[in-house]
Amino acid sequence: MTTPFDCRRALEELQDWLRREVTPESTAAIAEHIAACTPCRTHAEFEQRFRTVLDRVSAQERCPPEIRDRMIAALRREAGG
Amino acid sequence: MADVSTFEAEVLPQLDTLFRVGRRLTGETADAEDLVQETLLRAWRGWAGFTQGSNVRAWLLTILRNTFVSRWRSRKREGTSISLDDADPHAIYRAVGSQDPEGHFFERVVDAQVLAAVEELPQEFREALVLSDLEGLPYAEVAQVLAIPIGTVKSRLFRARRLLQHRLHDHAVELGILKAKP
Repeated sequence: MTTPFDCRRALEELQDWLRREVTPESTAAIAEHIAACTPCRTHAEFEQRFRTVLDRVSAQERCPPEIRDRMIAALRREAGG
Repeated sequence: MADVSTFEAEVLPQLDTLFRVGRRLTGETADAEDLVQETLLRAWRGWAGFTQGSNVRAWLLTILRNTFVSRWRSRKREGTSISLDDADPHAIYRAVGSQDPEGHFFERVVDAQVLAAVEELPQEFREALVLSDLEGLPYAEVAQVLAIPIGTVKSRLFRARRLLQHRLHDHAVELGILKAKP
């Protein structure tokens, strides 16, 4: 049995919910609240778009190969010395 | 003497992560290289103390973050302060209001501006957001790397995301994607 969330509590936990970092009880209660509450559902879409932007920019950049080579060379000098 | 090839097999798969986090913390590619280089050397010297099978990413990021705090932070200007309406943490959502209630403007802010806005965040918010929301570390791992309780991680992330939303909103206004708040 989950405790129903009010809008304030649902919005407080919205980002954590989108990151799947809330308890299973809260997960169910927030989902239930959002399904029933149009303003919170719109707000959840807003926060989801923000999340999508963070996902888009994350983990794309790689360590440039020349930097990688210099780091490995320095490490091997240290390890051999 | 430990075998460097074993060390490399564990550590080098994390190099892109270390470089990205270093880049976001220092704001500069050259500084990120210095920071990650120093991190790798410290990790190698401390390799005997690493528990095999434990979380190598969290271990390396902890070294990187501690190195940053001790060597770089004092040199790097802090992010400019931003007034944040604590009484209404959803101020941006409300400011956008009926113009774009579903936040489509976020999709139109280009990646370079998003990353620049991240780098402008004050350090304590920036490091939490980079580890959690850009690198995808679970909150517990962010707490481990930053040596703070999970509750503090969550409150810093809450503030960091709001600050970043403010920045992206302001960019969207500058670009004419959104109208300025009346």
